[in-house]
Amino acid sequence: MQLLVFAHRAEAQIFLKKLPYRWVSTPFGGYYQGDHTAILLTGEGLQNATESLSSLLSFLGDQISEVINLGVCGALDESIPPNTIYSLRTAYCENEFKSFSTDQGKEALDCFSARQRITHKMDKKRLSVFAPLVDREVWAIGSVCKRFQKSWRAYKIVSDIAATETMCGEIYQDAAFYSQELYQFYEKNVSQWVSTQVAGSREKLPDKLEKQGFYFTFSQRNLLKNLFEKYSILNDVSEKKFLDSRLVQELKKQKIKPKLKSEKLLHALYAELFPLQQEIVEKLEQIKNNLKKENIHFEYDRTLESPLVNFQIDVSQPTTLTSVPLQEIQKQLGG
Amino acid sequence: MIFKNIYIESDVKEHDFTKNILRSLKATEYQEIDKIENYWGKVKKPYLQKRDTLNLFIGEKKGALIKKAPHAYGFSSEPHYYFIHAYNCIYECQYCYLQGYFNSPDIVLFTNHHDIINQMKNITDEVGPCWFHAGEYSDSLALSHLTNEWPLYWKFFENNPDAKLELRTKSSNIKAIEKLTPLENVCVTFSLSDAKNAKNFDLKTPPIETRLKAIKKLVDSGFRIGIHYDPIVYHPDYLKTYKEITDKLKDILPDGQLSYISLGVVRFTKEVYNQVKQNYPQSKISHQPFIKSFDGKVRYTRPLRSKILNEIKQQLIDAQYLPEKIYLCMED
Repeated sequence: MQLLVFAHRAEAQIFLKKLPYRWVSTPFGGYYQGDHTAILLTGEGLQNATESLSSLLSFLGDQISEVINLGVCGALDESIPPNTIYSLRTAYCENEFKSFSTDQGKEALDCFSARQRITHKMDKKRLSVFAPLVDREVWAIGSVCKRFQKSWRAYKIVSDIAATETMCGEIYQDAAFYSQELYQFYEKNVSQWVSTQVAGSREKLPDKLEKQGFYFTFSQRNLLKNLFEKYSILNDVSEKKFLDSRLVQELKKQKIKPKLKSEKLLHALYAELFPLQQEIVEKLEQIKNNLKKENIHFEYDRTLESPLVNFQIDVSQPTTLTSVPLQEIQKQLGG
Repeated sequence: MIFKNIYIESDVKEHDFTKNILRSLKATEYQEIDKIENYWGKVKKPYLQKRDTLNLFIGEKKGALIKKAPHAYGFSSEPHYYFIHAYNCIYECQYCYLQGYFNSPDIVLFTNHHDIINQMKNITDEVGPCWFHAGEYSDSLALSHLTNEWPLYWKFFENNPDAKLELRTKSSNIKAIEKLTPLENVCVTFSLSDAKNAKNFDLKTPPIETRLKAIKKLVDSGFRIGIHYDPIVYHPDYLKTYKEITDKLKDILPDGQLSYISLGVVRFTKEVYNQVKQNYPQSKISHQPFIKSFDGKVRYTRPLRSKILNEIKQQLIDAQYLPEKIYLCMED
């Protein structure tokens, strides 16, 4: 479900009229639920937005797929025309180092969330270095969404230039207009985006391989995900091409247990990605096995980063140190 | 103009250096600010915003102007220092450590070059022969046609032969320095990689061929040249592709005019690596076979590092460059 977040009821008024929402009694403010979307009214300011949204996401987190912040903002840059809707790129906040970004590109604008309404020209000038827009909530919404690992976006309509003569009451009087504009924008641009996102979800690689006779444990699924991600990017190989590859097709035909097939596949992917490492480890393992026959225990750093190796020799057993191939070990660890 | 907005500290708005930059940029508008540190890096500005909204700050550098370089930073056993005349770079190399080092990608140009030069004088008087490197926090030549600071430094190095200057760059912008007389103690060093890696990772930089042309021009004018094959990023054909660039280099850069060649494989601090993965999740740079190495940095395994460095060093020796002029940068 998509959650639409507004600070004020006046900003959300057209949404509440046009869409079939029902009010739900919750301890964290105005919450209205529809079939595919819900609306949260947080109240003005960072504190209110943080409290309301984090309470709601703690409560209904699994049901919320994406958070969309909609509302009115001011312009810090005087060249920005009023009554225009902008998607937001990055949210900044006063006395806060962290910033939070949406996935919006260069056409989007940055917004600074102020702790108080901007009424002085000096404040407007100072804040304009950080962002061209100013609001009171978006940074908090980005912060909560990051914590709850929710994707989020924000769309703001510019009501006026900050620190000008415009009174809050005037903006309130025009609230129905701003809400109407936001609603039309949402209907045209945002709700469609959600439907394409849902259509895009698909089956995962381990599931596809399991249908072809492989079996992956939980940790092997993660390993496959990591190795395949590297493999596909480094070798420009698509998932389809990989599934059709000789490696997968030959393993598929082998009459071995599904778990062993998966182990072999992971091993082959690793060797493909780290050929030198694989070759060196194989040679060192061979040396290790040979030394074991001589009662010499040989250990090395499996990451191959440390040039230190350990030998354990049982002096009560007849053995000779000349059988230790030091130069060969040094050569291998030196690449 | 390459900059979205220009911010200038009130104290330096009448500075010749500032006026010169504004004139070169043909900039008619700027905003006056009190101190750069009240804005730049005060909040975390995402690195990739440099693509669309790169701002310029001009002001005075406070605090340390010159810092001692870490061990294995430069060629020769003489002390090495780097000086800070700018922050950030107009290029976008995917492995660049600046993306995790500063909190803003916006460019800062400092105006107090005379203070830097005075400190260089003090250090040289105290320690004797030493190196000063430009390009640690910014590309030393990329904007030099706008900033035009190098003639000032030239005078100092002309009169102080014990002090050596390295101008480190990935640009081919040699307009500002080719007018100057080459000095024995000034070396222009170019970071090069094979064409494949440059295309993949050195975004917005001049192509390798263009950099080679700039090297040739400077060689022909009598400048001393240094080369950084750093960072080398592994790919299965690296030996072939690095040989190609070495072959081209030997045709234009005689050993006599070569100061040194440094070799280094790609490496990151943990923080920078996290930024790289965040900024370039689909890039080959984020999916290399790295491990956490002896000094906590993220690198290739020791055998792979040794193999790459030894093989490329041998290629350079085979191209008739003297082994004693080749050093491994930031390797133990």
